[in-house]
Amino acid sequence: MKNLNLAMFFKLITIFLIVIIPFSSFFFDSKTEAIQMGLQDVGFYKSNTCEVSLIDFLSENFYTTNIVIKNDIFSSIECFGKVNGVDIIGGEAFVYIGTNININIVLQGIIWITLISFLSKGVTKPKLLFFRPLIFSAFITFQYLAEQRFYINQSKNFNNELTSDNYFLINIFFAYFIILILVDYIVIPRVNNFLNFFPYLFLIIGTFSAANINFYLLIFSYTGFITVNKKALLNKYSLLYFLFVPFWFYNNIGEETYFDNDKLRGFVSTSNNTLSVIFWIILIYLFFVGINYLLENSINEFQFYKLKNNFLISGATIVLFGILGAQNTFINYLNYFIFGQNKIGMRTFESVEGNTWRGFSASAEAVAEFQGVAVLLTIFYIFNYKKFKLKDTFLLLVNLFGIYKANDVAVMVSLIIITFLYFVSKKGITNLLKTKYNILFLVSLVISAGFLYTNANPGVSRDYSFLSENLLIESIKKSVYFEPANKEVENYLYKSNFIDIKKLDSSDRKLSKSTYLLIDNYISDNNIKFLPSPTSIISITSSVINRTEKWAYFIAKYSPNIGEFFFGYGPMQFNNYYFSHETSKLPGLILPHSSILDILIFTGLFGIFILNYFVFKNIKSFKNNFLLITIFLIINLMKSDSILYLSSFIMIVNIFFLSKKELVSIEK
Amino acid sequence: MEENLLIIEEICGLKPTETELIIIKNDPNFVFTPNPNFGVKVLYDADENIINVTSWLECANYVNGGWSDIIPGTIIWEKNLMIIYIVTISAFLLFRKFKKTSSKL
Repeated sequence: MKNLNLAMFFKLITIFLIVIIPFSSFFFDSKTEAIQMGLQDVGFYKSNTCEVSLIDFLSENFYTTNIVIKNDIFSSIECFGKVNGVDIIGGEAFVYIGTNININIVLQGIIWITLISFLSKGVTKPKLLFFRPLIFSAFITFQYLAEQRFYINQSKNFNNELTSDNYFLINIFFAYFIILILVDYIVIPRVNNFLNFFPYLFLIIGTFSAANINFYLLIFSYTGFITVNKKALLNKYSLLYFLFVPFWFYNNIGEETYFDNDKLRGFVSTSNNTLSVIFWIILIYLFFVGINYLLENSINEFQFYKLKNNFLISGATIVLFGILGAQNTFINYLNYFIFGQNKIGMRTFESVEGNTWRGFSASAEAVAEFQGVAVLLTIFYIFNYKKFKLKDTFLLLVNLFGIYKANDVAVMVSLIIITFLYFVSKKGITNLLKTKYNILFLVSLVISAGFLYTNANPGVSRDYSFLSENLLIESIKKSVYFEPANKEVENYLYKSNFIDIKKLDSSDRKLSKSTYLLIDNYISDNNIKFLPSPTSIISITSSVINRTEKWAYFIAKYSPNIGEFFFGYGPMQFNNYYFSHETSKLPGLILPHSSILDILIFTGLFGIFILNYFVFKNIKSFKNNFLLITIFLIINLMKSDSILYLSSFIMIVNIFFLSKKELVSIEK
Repeated sequence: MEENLLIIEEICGLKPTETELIIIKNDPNFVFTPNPNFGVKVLYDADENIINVTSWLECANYVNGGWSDIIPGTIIWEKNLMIIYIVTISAFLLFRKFKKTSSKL
């Protein structure tokens, strides 16, 4: 016990020192003292760049208002953790703190690995085979050649030459090598905790600053790399994956483009060149193999109450740090670096245009879904075990507050539906799907909820003809016809004259193939009278769930050829979707806002069919209440891009995996 | 300035389409407008003087005047970091070897 406490103390000190020392003046003798910052003192920090450490600056300015701490990723190694520049923008002083990718990887990696070391070890013994991390770090370094345009924008010392004096690339290689050695030694022996502790992936997000790779993607794919064998390579899922590979290569031939992945950094490719496609195909394959290994090796230690606790604690901590970060710019900056956020947290506690508060997370929807699962697990726990703790109530309330601030109506409505279903199916989940009456009941419940929501929501129109073509109109408005506004087309739209829009000169080039398909379907003579056409159904659905604008962008953009439509562009490849068809100017990164559409982009229609087959084939083997959480997530994924965030992706896979297992403790 | 465009773009990034390539000479009244999307870039001259530039045009003008984003001595820091990494890895591997050997004894 004494040794254990000593070890914990040592680990805490390690984390503390790793966070503090690089941002302090510990390693250099600064001749310049930090001063309290007023707007008139900008000159001082401008002429003394790389002289004052963040900690020194913080000691003078922790409570100073009108300061915004920003990350300067272009810093030299020498200026790491120091004030690297100051600027006045909009009456606020933007203070740039230097960081460097060569150091970030090691520092952040060690912080996260030290945190993992607090978990108990399983039976797997650490195996330190020198060549494994050596080969894999070379593979990860390969990404710097494959996604050069991304890394040129992340480091001013970026150099892609394969020479012995290219210290940038050599340091990147050694940084990953150090991390992977530690993964072998510390993380792999603790994989038995995976299923109980994965909720912390939402708190410690793990995206390396200035790199397009996530720490967990690194760990899981490395696990895949060291465990992949002939059996795994020859199983039906692997063979299906390999079947898609030639099509992905073929579909990526064309002009090389750069996709600014912004908040998706770490889990989405930025380039569509051959090297990048090869890199992501291998990486994602190993990632799947790794997750499979982790799931199979942690199921025996799975405990429902631990999962519930970790969901609640992680969800509540996210809210707490979100609030702290919004109140203080230093905490906001440290949140970004220590937790590995994809995107810096929100700086205010106010919602964006009255809509959402994403707080700590990069996506309000993803975090609301996560907290929704925390709420459901707690409800299941209370009513299955008949146990109710004050601590849980407090944490539950904080999680509910998080959902409220994220303002995700889909999560709120689906939470009510799923909770209701839980009580209906209390006698056992199999009873729920036993008769067709129950399934009919479920469908009518969802339709009724949709109907109620539409009628209660003043933002949704009641005009059927408007609703049935609204999506179509919006997608045409997002086309190049409206760059600038086009009176002729506007007139046609006003009269719902889609036939003449099709007759316009070069309309087949200006409108995407998806828009064309929807128009054809909408004006088709084959539509059955008094029944809505597929276009109308999609359009009405998009209006009800407030997705018309986002889906219209998708339809205006998505213009695949036959091969692309059936097989997609490859894992995590957005480029060809984003740049293959010209539209009106986008107001920033616009994602499809449906995970189904994301899967369509990556794996095409065949990918969606295979996934559906896989899910529905397994539906018969669902054995516990995790089925309800799976339904909850599927409902929400229809209107969110959550699968593009690694933590959400892992949550979906894990919940689905758990729903197929015989978990006696849950049915108790 | 046009003849230096390649070097300028290498240091300052691609020229924004809406920005005109103009030389701002020693005009003390001229103020470069900061561009929040550009962020901040640190440039150095031969005497190791430092300047922060906050727009592409400002950056282009300084680079045109002989400033660069390379600090004299940068390579040494990167080389030093490499040595630190190699020493750390070697020390760890030696420690493992020593631990393994001592547990066998």
